[in-house]
Amino acid sequence: MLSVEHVTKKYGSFTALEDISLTFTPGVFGLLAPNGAGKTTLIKMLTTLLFPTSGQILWNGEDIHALDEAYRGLLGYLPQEFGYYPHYSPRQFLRYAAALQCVPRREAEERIESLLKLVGLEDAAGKKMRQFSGGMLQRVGIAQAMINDPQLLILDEPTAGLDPRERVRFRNLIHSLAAERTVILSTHIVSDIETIAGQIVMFRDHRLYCCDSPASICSRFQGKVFEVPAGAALEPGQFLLSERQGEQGPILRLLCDTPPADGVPVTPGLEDAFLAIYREGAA
Amino acid sequence: MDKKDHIPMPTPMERRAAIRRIAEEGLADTAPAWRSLPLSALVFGVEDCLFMAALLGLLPLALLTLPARLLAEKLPLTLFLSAPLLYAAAHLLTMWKESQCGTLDWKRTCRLSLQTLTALRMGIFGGAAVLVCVPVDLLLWHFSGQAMPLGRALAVSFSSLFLHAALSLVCREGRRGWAVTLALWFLLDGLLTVWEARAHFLPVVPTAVFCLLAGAGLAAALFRLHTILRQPQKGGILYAQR
Repeated sequence: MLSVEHVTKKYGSFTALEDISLTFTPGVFGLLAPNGAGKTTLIKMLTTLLFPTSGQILWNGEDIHALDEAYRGLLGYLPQEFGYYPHYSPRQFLRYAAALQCVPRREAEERIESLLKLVGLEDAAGKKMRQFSGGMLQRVGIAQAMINDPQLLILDEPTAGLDPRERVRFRNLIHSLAAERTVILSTHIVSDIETIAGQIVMFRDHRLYCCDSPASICSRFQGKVFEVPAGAALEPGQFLLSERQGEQGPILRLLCDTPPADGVPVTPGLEDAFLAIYREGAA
Repeated sequence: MDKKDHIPMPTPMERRAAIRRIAEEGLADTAPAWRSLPLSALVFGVEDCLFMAALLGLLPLALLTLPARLLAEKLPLTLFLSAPLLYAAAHLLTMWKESQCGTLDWKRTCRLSLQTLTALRMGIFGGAAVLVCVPVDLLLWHFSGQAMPLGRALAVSFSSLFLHAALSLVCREGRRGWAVTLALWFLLDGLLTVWEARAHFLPVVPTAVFCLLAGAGLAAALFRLHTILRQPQKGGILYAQR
């Protein structure tokens, strides 16, 4: 179990995160917030790349920096920009990653084969990675992060730059990996985590806003989201969430406390909740 | 009856067996993780940097085009200035490549710390530098008409190489340590070149002084390597301070 206890991170006078307390148990946790909200800062602290300015991060009750290599040995990490050596094949690269994670050679060979199969790269295992698409490289990144069979898998914006088909494939992959471990996935793309995350962590104003299930977050806006035909002027207290094409033409999705004229109440989704929470001027 | 008598205490033999088992299990994982690292993993992905560095290490051979008399005159300074070329180039090129490839972030989260990996690489670079230095020195020494004793030529080279290695290992803990090392070394080289041009003093420095410098440099470099390998957690702290 990973516990974040009253963690604050400051860069000079700028406070990136303030008094964050969280507990991560096995399952998928989605860090969902707009860019610049502090997701990567938290992830870098969880991966020992940054120290908290105050507070502490504990793995099963022990400070992760004190655990040192024992903690890193149970950690798998895919950074936002995954670095690789283009002139090597995924198999060679994974052997290297296994050596750096101190996985015994025989165990590593078995693991590499099963991971290549899991991420769907067994046919490209001998090809140089410079020929790979962004999605294939991300899959190598996932395999690299999984090479030590980590108890804690941390993925920073893993679907950035992937096409929709690759994103769906990636989601399925993450879902299959989360059965026996804690997976922490940071993203600003709601659809990435809506279906796979058991808990969503959101930050606002550099503080923890919530850590809750998607259904529970959505229920906060139950009875407050309506659809109205486009063209109607927004009244005070109404906030435009999104727009979609309906059979009768464009339809606006609004957030408001009182039902608008001609408004049809709809069940709020996580994207509605995200837009409502991070709307300009939201208190 | 004393309560203690109800507690089943182990026999001396059982106690010794238990202590042995605990000690064996406790000691099983005490071997440092880096000992199991294959040599190929140390240069994985940076072979091109090593190749470039090796070419730079051979650069002093360009002086073979000079007449023997001129080469003999320039030999001590050439040996001193050129000895750390391979080591410094390999270190800087691998660092540059790693930062360009973006591999540093995930490497910093591996069980084998980046600090340990870098320290081991520097050890390898030092060994490679010695291997290249010796034949280069031999050729320069031979074609200079054996202007000085071979032992002295090697002592001059090694003093420079090991002092540079020790300096780079000491400086790497600090912020932009590589730049500090480079600046200090260029300063030393510049001063030495100017001084040598004016006073022509290197030929009169006793061989023992170069041997002493080489020994001190090697001892300092090895001690620093040993310290780094014993404190792998410092890699994370160093990164976190940046």
